[in-house]
This record gives sequence, C-alpha cells and structure tokens, in this order.
Amino acid sequence: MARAKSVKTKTKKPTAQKAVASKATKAKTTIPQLEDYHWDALNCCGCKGCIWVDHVYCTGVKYGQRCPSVHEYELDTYSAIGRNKLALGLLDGTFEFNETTLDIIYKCCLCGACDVGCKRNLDLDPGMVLETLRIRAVEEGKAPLPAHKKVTDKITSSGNRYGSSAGSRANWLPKGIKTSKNPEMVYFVGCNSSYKDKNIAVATAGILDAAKVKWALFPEEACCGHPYYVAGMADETLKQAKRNIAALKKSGAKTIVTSCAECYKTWKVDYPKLMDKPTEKMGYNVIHITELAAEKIAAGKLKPTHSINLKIAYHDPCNLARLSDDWVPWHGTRGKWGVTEPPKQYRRGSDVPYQPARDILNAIPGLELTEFFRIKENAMCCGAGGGVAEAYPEMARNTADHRLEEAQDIGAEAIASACPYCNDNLSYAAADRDRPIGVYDVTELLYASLTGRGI
Amino acid sequence: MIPQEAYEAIEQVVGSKYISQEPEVCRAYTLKDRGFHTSEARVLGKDPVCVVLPGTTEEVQQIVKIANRYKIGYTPSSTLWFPQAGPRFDDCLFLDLKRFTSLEIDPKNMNATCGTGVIFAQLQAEALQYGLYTMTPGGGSQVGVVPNHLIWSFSPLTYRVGMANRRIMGCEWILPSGEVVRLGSLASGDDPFWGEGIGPDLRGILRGSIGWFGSLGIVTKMCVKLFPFHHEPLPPTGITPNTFLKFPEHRMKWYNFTCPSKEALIEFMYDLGHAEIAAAATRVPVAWRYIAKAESKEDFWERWNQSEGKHEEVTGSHVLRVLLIGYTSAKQLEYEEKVLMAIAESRGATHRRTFQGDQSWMQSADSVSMWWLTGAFMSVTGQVDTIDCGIKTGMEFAKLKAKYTLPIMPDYGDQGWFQSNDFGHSGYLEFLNYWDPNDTDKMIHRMDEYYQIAGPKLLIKSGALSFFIQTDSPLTLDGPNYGPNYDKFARKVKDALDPQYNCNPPGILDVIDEVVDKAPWLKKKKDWD
Repeated sequence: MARAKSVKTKTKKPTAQKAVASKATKAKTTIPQLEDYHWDALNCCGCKGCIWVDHVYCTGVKYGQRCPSVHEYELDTYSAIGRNKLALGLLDGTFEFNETTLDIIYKCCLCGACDVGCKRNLDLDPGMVLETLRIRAVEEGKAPLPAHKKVTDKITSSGNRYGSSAGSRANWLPKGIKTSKNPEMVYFVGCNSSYKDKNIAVATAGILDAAKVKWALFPEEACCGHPYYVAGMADETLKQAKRNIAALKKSGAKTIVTSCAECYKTWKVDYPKLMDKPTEKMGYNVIHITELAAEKIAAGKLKPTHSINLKIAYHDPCNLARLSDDWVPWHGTRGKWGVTEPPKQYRRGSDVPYQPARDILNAIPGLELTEFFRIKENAMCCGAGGGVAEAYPEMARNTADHRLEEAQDIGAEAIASACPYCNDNLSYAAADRDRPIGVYDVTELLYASLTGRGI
Repeated sequence: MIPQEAYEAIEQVVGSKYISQEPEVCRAYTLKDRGFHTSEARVLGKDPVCVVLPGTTEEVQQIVKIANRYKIGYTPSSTLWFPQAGPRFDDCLFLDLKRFTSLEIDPKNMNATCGTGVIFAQLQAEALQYGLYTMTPGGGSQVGVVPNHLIWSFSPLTYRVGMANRRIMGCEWILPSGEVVRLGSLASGDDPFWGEGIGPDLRGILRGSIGWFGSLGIVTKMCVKLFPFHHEPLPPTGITPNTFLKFPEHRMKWYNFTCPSKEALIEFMYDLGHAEIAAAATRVPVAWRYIAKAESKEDFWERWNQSEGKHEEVTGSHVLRVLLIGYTSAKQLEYEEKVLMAIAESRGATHRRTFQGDQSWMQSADSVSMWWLTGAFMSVTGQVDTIDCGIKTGMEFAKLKAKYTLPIMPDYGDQGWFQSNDFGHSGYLEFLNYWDPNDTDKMIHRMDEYYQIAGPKLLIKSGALSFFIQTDSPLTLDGPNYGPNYDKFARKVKDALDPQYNCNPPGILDVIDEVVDKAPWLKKKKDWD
C-alpha cells in the first residue's frame, strides 16, 4: 500500500473544493465531473511541460512545441495552464461560461499532448480537466457550440455525422468481398469511411479478406458518438455507447476492428470512461486495423509485394496513439503529500500502438519511412481533433499546414496516417496552402502493395 | 484596468491578436493559483489586468514608453517560472515575451544569439547539431535561456562551462526609459562575439551575481557562449516519461562514487579541479535517487517510507557523481578516467554502477519533479561559496529543517544539493524543501515562517550570501549585515534607471518585508524594524 505511513497530520481539503456544490456532483452519475479534477487543476505549477516536446526529443526551436492551441493563439490562456486556472475560476464562481470562456475551452484539439507532457513530471490529469470543462459547459446549457450542434443534430436524426441515410451506410462494400456468418470480429467502419473516404473502408475490407480473417460488418452500425463527446455532450455519448454495445452483444462478436482512430479511442477509452468501468471489463476487445495487419505481416499471413516508391512520413493520430491507453477508473482519496489511496494508475500514453503502422510501412517494398521531428507521444496533432475542424476551421488548417511544413522539412514526399479525419484535414490543407505533398491512409498503401492496385 | 487610451495605443503597436484585458484570459498569468504555492505567490500574487505579446524589440520599446507615459506598472516574463517574475501589484500590464523565438548559432565563434522565448532544451538541441553545447540549468530545460542567464543559471555542468555572468556576450537591453542599450561588442557593431565590449562592462549592473528579475528593464535578445563538445550522436530513447539521451560511452560517462565521509567527498571535488578533469562534479540529495527509480508518486512514498535506518542512510550518504566527456577524443576520456580512478583511490571512494544516459543536465533537466513529490517545492537558499563553506550552510539548514518537519517533508537530515563550479574555484549549494500545499493553514503558516523568517535569519547568522536573500530583502533584514551600502547602491541604480518604478514594481529588494507585512501570521513574528 503506497501511503505516507510516518505522517499523521490531517490533510485539509482545498477551500475552493469545499465551495463547489454543483448539481452534477449531487446527482449520481457515472459521467466524469470537473470537481473530480479540481486537485489536478490546483496543483498545476505552470512548468509548461504541457506545451513543449519532451526535452529529450526536442530538436530545436521550430518544432519544439506540441500544443496546437498555443501554436495558434500563443497566449498561455490557451494552454492547459490557462485552462486549469479557468477551471478553478469556474468552480469557485469567479468566472462563468460566456463567449470568452467557451472560446478558451473549445479552441483545443483535445489531442492529449498536454496530458502526456504533464505526466512526465507531475502526474496530473489536464486532459480530463479539458474534457470535463466541456461536459460542464453542456450541463450548464452553454454548449454545444453552434458548429458542433450542426453535426450532432445529424447524428441524432440519422445516426451519422453527415446526415446521410442509414440505409446507405454499407454501400461502399465491394461486391467481391464476402463477410462471414460466424465472424471472429466485426468491422466498425465509422461515419467517414462509410460515407466519405470510402477507399479506406474498401482497403480495410480487402486487407481483412487477404488476411483470411472471418469478419463481418458491425450490425446496424451508427456513429460511435465521438462528435458528441468532444462537444461535451456526455449523456448523448453514453446513450450512443449503450446502443452500440447492445448491437455488438446481439452480434455475438467480442472483437471490434476499426480503421478510424476516433472510433477506436471512443470504444476503447470513452465508453468505459462514461460507464465508469475499466476497459478490460467492458466485455469486448477493440483493435485498430493497423494492429491486426502488422501482426499478420509479422506472422507471414499478409505479404505486401508490390513496390510503392515513396518517401513517406507517418503521422501518429492522437486517438490511436497517446490518447488510447486503457481507461482505468479511480475513485479514491488523496492523503498526505497528495498520495492516492488506492494508488491511481496513470494513463501516460506509453502503452499504446505507436509501432504497428510503422511496421506496416516498413514492410512495403519501395516505401521509405522517414520520421517527423515530433513523433509518437510528441506528435503534433493534425488540427482536426476536439471539434476544432468544425468550430475553428482556420486553426485546423493552420495546424495541418504546420504539420505539412514539418513533413517537407524532413524531405517527405507524402504523409501516411491511420485516421480518416487526419487525412481529410491534412489533404485539405495541402490543397489549400499549395503544398505538393500526398496524404494517404496506411490501409490504402498496404492494400495497394498487396494487390498491385495504384494509390 | 489600464487607461483605455493606453490600451488602444498598445493595441496599435502589437495588433489586436496580441493583447487582451479580459479577466478570463489574464487569469492564466496569475501566480496566485499557479501551483507554486509559495508565500510570495499566495500573499502577493495578483492577476494582471492586461496581457500583451510583443514580437520585436521595437514593439517592446514602444510599450515601455506608453507605460511610462500613462504611469503603468509592467512585468516582463519569458516562461514565468519564478514567483518574483510574476504579476504581484495592482493594475499590472504583463509582457509575455514568448514570441521572441529567434536563434542563430555561430559555430565558428561558438556562440548563440537567442530571443527571450527560446528555452534551454531548444538551444541545447540545436547546439549539439554543431558539436557545441551549454549547460541546462537547475531551473529545468523548460526555462528561457535569456532570463536564466540573467538571474541564475546553475547546473552541475557549470563546473566546466562557468558562471552565467561570464557566458553573457552582446545583448539588447531595453531600459525602463524605453531606450535600447547594446552591451559588449554589439555596442560598436553587429557581431556579438565579445561580452566585455569596448567601454565599461555593464554586465555587472545587468546581472551581477544574480540579476534583477525584470525590474531594471527588458532583454529581448542575448548572445551566449557555447562550448566545444564532440560530434557523436546522443540518440533519444524511450517513451515519456522514461526517456533519455543514450551516451556514446567511449566519449561520455557518468561515474558514481561512495566516499567514506563528507570531508573525503569535499577533497575529492577539490582534487578534480586541481587535475582539471571532468565536465561535472555534484553531490545529489538522496531523495533524488529515489525519484529516479520511482514509477509514480505513490511508488516513491512506498520506497521512501519502507527502509529502516533512513536517517543513517541519508546522513551517511556521500555519493559523488562525476561526468567525464572525451571532448576531443576517446583517448581523452580514457586519460581522465585513469586520473579519476586514481583520485578516488586516494580518497578511499568506491566506484558504483550508474545509468549511462542523459536523464538530466545535458538536454533534459526535470526541475518540475520537485513539485511531484509532495505538491510544493522551494529552495530556501542558493549560494556560491567555497565548496566546504557551502556544505557547512547545508548542514546548518538540515538542523533548522528538522525543527520544521513537518510541515516540510521528512528527508532525514539531507544537506541539500551541492556541487563544484569552475573546476573547484567555487561551490554551489541549493537547499531544497518539499511540503504539502494542501496541509492545514496552521502548517502552511509554519512553512511560511521557516521560509520567510527562520531561513533568512540562519543565513545572516552563518554569513552565507544567498541569492534569494540578496534579491528579496537586503533592505532591512539582512542587507546591512552583508555590507554597509549594498542595498543603498542597488536602490540608487533602480532610482536612476527607473525613477517612476514602473518596471516590475515594487522592485526586487523588499519581497520578504512585503510578504511579512501583508501576512498577519508572519507579521506577528516580525522582530526587526
């Protein structure tokens, strides 16, 4: 048991915490609350570990930061430090939700860069402060933002973020591909690949087929709820979670494969978080197609043989990388020196699939994998996350452009990612800012190498 | 609020994106809730009323002139990693200097010209690409190069690279009048290669041994010395938080020695200097070794509380940590290792295994982990003295700290972090204290008493010149004890350069008195005039 055994002094609770008496904490809920992270906000000492790249991996001034908000808006206000202080002010009644506070809260990609940075030295949870700020904004009736509401209304009405018909969701499925009646796993395609970037879904299905996996489409698939969650609409996300989990149970499958990083993280982290359960006790496994494909390549069951002559950089999608550690609930107390009892398990972005996509790209003949200056836990977000693409498109494009510039600075001809939203935003920025650099999904590249089809 | 006219004038200078007076925006810059938890932050900390982010030296000049015109107090800061550099007076205009990110390295003349927003990790990373290096300070890799050179800049590597005042070369210094002074060779040309310059060397006023925390003007650009390193790569390894730069062991290595006594450890440090070998020589607090091994705060406390005989372990620990670098060749390392081992043998020291990578001091220094242990940290002294004198102060402080444990974390008599500087010409002591910021008011007030009253009194009694005291309170509490007129001279400099006292008021000389006067639980213990 990790406790300060030799010390018997009573610990005083912070005054501000006493002052907080929100309706939300009084009602029984499994949804995380801002008050749960008061200690984290209070004990942020402003070191800026949330902003800088891990010093060991720092390469210099130009790419020395990893916080997209501070990169764009520069004021400390837009860092986790500023948002922690804002959270304290909202909790003790100094501030209220208004145009300015909502602006500070939502001009953030929820990319987790601050969270892993903070957990290098302080083990605070700034990521959860950011998320619960949004949840509180919605609870208070001040959010979602109009731009987010546009998207979430479509999910509510049609089950997908584009407002397309539910019946056409699987229209992308090529005729030649047969799914199994007794699947080992179900493919949760996601809204983007179902309706927009269908090539990712086609490639994923092709890879599953080539790997001789018994798979089927997720039954009656509807949006995973990620857009709800980033807007702060926790209740709606929870409803979506329950709906999707029930559908999964009905199918009998225990494993979900995704090709979308956002769906992956939602199933793996956010559903357990909102249900207050550890990921391992959810009764299902979630894997990303890159994890599965890398394993099959290593086992010799997938053989990429066709050359793709490209010098390519891999962009770590936040939701597949540093944000995707298993969720482990903690309901304990802090004793002397802030020591947690029972000991809290920290999610540091260190037990996540950084490597599979790299292994796939390395296995493709002709492809030369080069690395960004900022990779893995230090990667710069593409800029689309956290609802920024919808509410603050200029920030989203500027951030993507910064990432494209980094790719060019390392001599990459193209970028590969494993998230359709990263691909979208990076592609859009490349066209918009006239940067001659290709953007691909890892599945597209692998499928092309397996089949000889062009990319 | 600052006057609307002044706001609009500053907005004209920097553009609307770079100025705000919205309270929710300004709150980010407060020290009050910034987690420092020190008495200065709690008692004096205030939100600024306006934040501005200038991008050029000229913009800063114009802002300073506008502030003077409207008699607005302002505080400049780079990374805001020191309570004295934060807003602590009413109606503060806060200058966030993070946009000064220029960095030019002159590999031939071995120097780097940095903007005020550049941090040490960035400078070191770029310097290493040229086979050059500098130290990374105790303040951490995340602190600004320019402000740290102005106020502190100690690390075990100062053993080799020397004190910061001698590493400063040309710089651009905006006086409280708004005029720019260019120091060193910048005064007569564009090349900042020469620190002393052709006229009087004003670095003594700019910084002296410790500096002014932004109360004598604003430095927007500074040229600092770099030093020759080797060209072997130091590959970054691992996933956060377990990351390090891997050492090429034929060119650089850490050595840990257990010395039979404190005296032997001190003599060992002097011997290294006499032999002119090594890149760093430092004694680290025992708790730091536990920090390095712990997987979490909970794990640290589990380990720290477990072993019996902790007092004996701590007071009997005389571990000297030495870094050798083969700057010119592997043979240099081989030679220095032979000399090192010979010295160790002569001092009866035993060589111990240690990890061969940079987890601190080259490019990474995690000062922030000082907060991680208990939630709050501060040093009660930081001083340059002879190695043995510094250690004596540490021993005195260990006794005093025992009286204040709790509220201070029990560290069983640890005598602080001390190291050799300038090949043993001087030593550096920093005495570290950790406490629980969420403790009862009674305990927090006791902590304040230790920091603001008992500690400074001990320093006066032991004749130790602490940087903290020098900057905090030479006015009445200790200034006259150090010399007949230091405090008067310092005040005259401030009067001459900043007659309106707009630049980081109220000045740097009276923080302790101000805290004591404003905190009733301290004021009642005040027994000096």
